[in-house]
Amino acid sequence: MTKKKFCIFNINLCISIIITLLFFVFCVFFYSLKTKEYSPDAFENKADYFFYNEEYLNALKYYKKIINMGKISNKNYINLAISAIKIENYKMAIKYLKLLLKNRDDLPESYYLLAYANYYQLNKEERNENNIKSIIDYLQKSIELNERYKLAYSLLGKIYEDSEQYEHARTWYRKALFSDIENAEEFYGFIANTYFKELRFDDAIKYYKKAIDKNKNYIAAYCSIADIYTLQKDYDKAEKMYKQVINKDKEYILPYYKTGNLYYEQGNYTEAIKWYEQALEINKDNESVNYYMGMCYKKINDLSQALKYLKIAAYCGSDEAVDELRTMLELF
Amino acid sequence: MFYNNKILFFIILFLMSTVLQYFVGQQVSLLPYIDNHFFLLIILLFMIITVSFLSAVCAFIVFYIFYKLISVLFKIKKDLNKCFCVWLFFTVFSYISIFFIFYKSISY
Repeated sequence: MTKKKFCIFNINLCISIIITLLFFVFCVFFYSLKTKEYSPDAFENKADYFFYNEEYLNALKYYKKIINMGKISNKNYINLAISAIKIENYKMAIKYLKLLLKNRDDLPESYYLLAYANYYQLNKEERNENNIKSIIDYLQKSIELNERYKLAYSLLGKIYEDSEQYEHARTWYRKALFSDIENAEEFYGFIANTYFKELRFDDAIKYYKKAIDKNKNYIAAYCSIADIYTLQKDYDKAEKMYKQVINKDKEYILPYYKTGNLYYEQGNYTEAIKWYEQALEINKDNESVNYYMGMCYKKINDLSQALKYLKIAAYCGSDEAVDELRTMLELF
Repeated sequence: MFYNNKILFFIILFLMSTVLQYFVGQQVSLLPYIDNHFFLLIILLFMIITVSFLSAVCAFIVFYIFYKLISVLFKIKKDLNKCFCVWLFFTVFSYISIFFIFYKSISY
């Protein structure tokens, strides 16, 4: 059998190549026709629509297209970066923020977002001093440009908190307060949280109270103070604080649930059930409330009710309820 | 017709997939875990070859039934070159699938 020779003048090959070239030309023609249909303004409207409706993947797609089409504006870059960060594509956010910084280096948002993307791109193990230094530089630059830019202060504080350098974190939170920042109560709350983490409860309470002085409706501070009283086993004071939260917001489930827990810890299960019932009126599918409700009934030997609530808790995703049900079924 | 030299056809298919990968990457690589372009290229090539081959086999079966029917009706004795037919269908469907993916990747 003779082997066929590869020949450039083979008619078959020529036709094939002509068809392929025609296919290419057709694709190019089709592409230019299709891109002519697209208007950057229409895309920008679409991108903004997706962005404000929190559909970040679609928003990112359109912002990227707009920038590739040459419609460059700070807003588009910033929104693209935010969308990329929201879907955890930190690499893309960093790439476009660096491009923005080449054109405009006076926007505090861009430095803040760059720091944010760089920080969350790192795994917890990778967050060492060398890696974090550049991130802190970006944030300091952001504060230099706008000394009342509260997001930069809070991220700086959080970075130090994550590395358990609470004194440094507090320094930045205090700097934010000195800059006469908006929502100062949040920063008093942040300072208090660092004391809480260090188990310095008196200092924590002092700052939570300062936060409350700034904003009487700052519910998180009331709840945290109540949590401290609970840890100190001062149940009366804790209950008083939770009741204050209920007076501020009757539809907030946490104080009902936590007050129930206070009674549960003291072994007063019938009183705990009353509070859990009120919590369930707000959200009947709350797994923790259903679990504790089931546990209360178990403690007072009402097993059918206990099973009912533990089943709901298990259905809502409580692993503890599943374990409890398993133990109960093994016993009977 | 259509690349009797099969290696040449696959080389051209690979080159076209490389171009296609750029356009698909514009839309797909938005997600953080799809940023490996070589991986995307391999997926595209595999998808094009698989879909085209399956379509070619199906098209050939339909074509063969019709051919048999016509050859019985008109008493044609010439036998069909099955491999050539499948190959021809495969090349045509490869171009169609490339165009389809291209169309989808440039549509916004």
